[in-house]
Amino acid sequence: MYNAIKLIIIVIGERVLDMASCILRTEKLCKSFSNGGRQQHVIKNLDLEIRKGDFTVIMGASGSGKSTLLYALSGMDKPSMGKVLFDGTEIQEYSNDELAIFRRGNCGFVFQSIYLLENQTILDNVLTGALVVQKNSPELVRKAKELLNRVGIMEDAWNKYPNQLSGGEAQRVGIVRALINDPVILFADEPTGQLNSSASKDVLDIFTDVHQKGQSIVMVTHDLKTALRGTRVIFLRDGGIVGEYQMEPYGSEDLKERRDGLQKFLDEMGW
Amino acid sequence: MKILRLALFNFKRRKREALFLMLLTCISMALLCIALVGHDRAYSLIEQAFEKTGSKEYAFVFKQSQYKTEFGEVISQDPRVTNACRFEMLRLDDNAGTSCKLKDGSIVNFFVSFVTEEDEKKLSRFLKGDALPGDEAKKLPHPIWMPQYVKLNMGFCPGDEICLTLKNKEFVFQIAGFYETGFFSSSLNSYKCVISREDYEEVAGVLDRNVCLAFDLKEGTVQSYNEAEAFRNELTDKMNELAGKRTIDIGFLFESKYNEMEMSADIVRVVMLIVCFVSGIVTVTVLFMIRHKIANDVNDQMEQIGVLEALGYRFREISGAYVLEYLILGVAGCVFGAVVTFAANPLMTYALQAFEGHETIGNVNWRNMPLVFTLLLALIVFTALWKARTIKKYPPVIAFRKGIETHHFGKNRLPLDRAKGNVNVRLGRKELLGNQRQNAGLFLCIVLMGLSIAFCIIMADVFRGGGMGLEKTAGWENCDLYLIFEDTVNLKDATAEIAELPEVRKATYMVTNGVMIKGEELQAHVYADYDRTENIFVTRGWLPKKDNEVAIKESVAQRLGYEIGDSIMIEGQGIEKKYVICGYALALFDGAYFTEEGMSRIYPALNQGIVNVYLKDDVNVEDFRELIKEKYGSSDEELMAEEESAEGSLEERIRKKAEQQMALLISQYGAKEVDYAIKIGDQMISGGTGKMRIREITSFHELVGAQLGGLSRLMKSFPGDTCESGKLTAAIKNTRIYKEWQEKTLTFPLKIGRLNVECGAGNGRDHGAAEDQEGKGGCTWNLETTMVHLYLSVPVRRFALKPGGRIPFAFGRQCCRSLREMTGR
Repeated sequence: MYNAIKLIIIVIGERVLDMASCILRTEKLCKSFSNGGRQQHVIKNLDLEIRKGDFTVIMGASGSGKSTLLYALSGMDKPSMGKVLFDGTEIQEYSNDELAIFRRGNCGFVFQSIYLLENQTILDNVLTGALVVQKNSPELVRKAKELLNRVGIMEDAWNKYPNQLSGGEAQRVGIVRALINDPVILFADEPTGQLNSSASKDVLDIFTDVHQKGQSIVMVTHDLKTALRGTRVIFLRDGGIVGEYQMEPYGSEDLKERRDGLQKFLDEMGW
Repeated sequence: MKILRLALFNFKRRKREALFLMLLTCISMALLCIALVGHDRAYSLIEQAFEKTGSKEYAFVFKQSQYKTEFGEVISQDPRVTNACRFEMLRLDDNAGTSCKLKDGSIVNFFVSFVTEEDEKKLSRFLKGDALPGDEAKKLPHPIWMPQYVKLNMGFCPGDEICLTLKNKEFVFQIAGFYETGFFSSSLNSYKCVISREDYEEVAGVLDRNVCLAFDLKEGTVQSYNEAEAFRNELTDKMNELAGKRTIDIGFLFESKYNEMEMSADIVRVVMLIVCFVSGIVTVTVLFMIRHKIANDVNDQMEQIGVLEALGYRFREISGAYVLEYLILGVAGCVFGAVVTFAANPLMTYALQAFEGHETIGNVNWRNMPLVFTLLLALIVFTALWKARTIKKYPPVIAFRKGIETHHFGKNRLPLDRAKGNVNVRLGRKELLGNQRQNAGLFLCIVLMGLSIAFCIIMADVFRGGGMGLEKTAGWENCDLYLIFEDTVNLKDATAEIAELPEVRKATYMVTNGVMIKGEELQAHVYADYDRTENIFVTRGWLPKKDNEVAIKESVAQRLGYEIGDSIMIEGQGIEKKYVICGYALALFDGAYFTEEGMSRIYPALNQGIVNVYLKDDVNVEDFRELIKEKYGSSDEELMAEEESAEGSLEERIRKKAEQQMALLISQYGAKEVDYAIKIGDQMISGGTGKMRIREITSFHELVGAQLGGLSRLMKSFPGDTCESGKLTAAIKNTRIYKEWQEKTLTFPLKIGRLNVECGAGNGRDHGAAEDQEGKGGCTWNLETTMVHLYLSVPVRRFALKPGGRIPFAFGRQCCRSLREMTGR
């Protein structure tokens, strides 16, 4: 009897703990598009929980709905049906303005195409992200500079324009812009998709670094090396989750074993 | 702040476009302000002229032969009338004007009237402006004071000699100065010139004496043009009763301050409306450009908009950045526009003065400027906001997909796999089809800009050449010369004879009369043959062919409530007849067109008309003018003035003497037709007044030149043309030049800056002119009036050096030094 009660308490406790650590959750999430008068269902009845501190990697074949799921989770796009709950609050009914306010306080974005503002300097690009949330102040500027320093963008590059930077450098600026507001979740859509291997490694090292400092990350990729940085890999097929793979934080285990394990999971998923 | 930052980043992106837009906004603001300020001033200028001169505000002018003393009683006994006075005025009859040679050799034609100084002082304070210094005016043999209009539009200066040809007789006056007058200040209703009693009596031999009844009204009686007209109608009804006939036959003229304002300000109002129209086109272009530019920017920056939205910027903030961008541009443009308006004020003042013939300044109402400022900014903000709102349609994900909402990316138009010809052409067409709306907007912008530029060029051309563009205006025959013969000449015979001349392509004649329709006065025109006219058109219907047909101006028909096919009663000279409206004619003024037979139904004896002469292409107009003068030039007065000569045969001498006697009977005793037969032995010498004598030769250019001379000079002063814009005036009595002239040895070189003018022919010529070889300027002198005028063709500000006067700038000092050297003063 005692053991039974103890088990119930443990299960409830774990459940409560799970509920507490879950920052983003979807229920029966659907997203469809009209394509030439025909409805195309990209995400179908998807249930997913993103826990605080997780580095969640979403993988899948092209057209499986990875990016669509990322945009729906981040409030960049509204689902066709179902719920998206952020910290227990349903955001799918938010207006565009409410979603904008939600994003500015909670989300950071890193894009495959980087999308730095061409007519602004590196520092201004970072501050453009910051000034939407807070007023300009020396502390803010100092913070932007520190972050830039941290990702290896030194002072001589702060007043350069995006087209004067390499792809890797630009993406590092993109990460700083995403992190400047201390987002609850950092969303990344194939952040190394346009980078060479060396630049990719630098960028991924930054992701690993910020994750190790407690940042929750949701990243879409189809690259194995990138996925290795995550702690949880979700595999999508035809708009639904078909498999999930858990890993220890990057660096805490043998890399070969980590790669083999993930490779095996992906092979099973038919990747 | 963040919106401002975004707006400033947008500026940085397209600086040139922003500057261009700002320039257009500046032009729009300046033009609109100039139009509104000018429109207001057109009225205040005249109001001030009346105020300053203390002029009576209302006047009736009657031909002395038609005047009854009871008319004066009607006016003086009216309880609303104050300060009534009566004086005499000389005026030319309806058709004839006076011609006058300007300093540049061109001839202008205008209406003129004369009063004595005593009579002018009954009408106003006789406020003198630019005039000869001290007692110089009194020493002139034939002094004349002319309205400011003459100075502003014809370039005359005090001391100049002016020759007025009145009914073919030349009267030479010396301009004593110019004066400000409320009434009769422009060629529209005649230049009222003030002359001495002796000269007045001499001119009275040629012109008709008129009685002028001038008065003021008690305050509040009349406050608008319509009220003034109602007052006039009330009084004229009383006069009709006394005269026993219609006022149109009395031949009177009514002038009021409001009438003057309407007439003089009308052309300004039209010009200002044109300026407003151009400003409107520029404004619409600006708005289209803003709309088009925002559409382009949104399209080009779609991904960046997506990024900003992803970062948490609301659509209001992003669209606000676009609006702010154009608001800043608009404010900058409007501020520059306001500065331009202030800077253009002297130019505007001169243009208005030239138009209206008053040297008063008038009240400048700058209150319109904030209104225009607000209006333009509101339009700009509204347009920018309207277009920038489209950003709302693009939430971040759609923005990343370049505005495409679904995964359906549309039809591939003109696919390259089916390309047959040049791939570049194919790509160009693809691009054109892909941006249909933007290309349509761009096309519209280009069309509007083209229209406004073409319009400005046309307007500049119209005024630049002394209003030559007006000659193409429908409703006015633009032949090469108009000939007005003496009343004794048969118009049909004269036209036929002129048409036979080898230099003439064709000749036709035109007669005008006043008629009344529903109590409204119209100018009735009769052309001998409408098939031979070149600039008389109808917009609907046809020109009259039968004696009961009349073509009238469409606006007049609408105003009176008539349409084509309607029967109307037309009255003239007390006779009323029924006519049918056969067409809507284009006419400069409120006019009606009749056939000759049609007009003779109400005017059995037509007025003396004008022969329109169309010359062959290779014929020089001036040569032909000389030919006409030679052939028909002897006016009655000239014939009388001819001295007896012993030359010629007996018959020739007898005929000459007979013609002199006929001229005497016609000019002094009002004879219309005279025949003579003289028997000498067996020989009978007979003749009569059949000989055609020209009274006036003029042209459209001369008529328009008198009206738009000032503006034309103003337009000419823009780069590209020489201009007479620097002027230096000085009295030279008791100077070396004066003495030399008296000794008949005058000759002097004149060097002013780059000018090098050899002035003076010596031999006692009392007046003359010389120009430097490069045409940069020159000098005119009139030693009789002891005046020297220097004029310079370099664009400098106008200035006049008077004794004790201040020289405005260095250039003037240089002129002055040169003049001092020249005159020894």
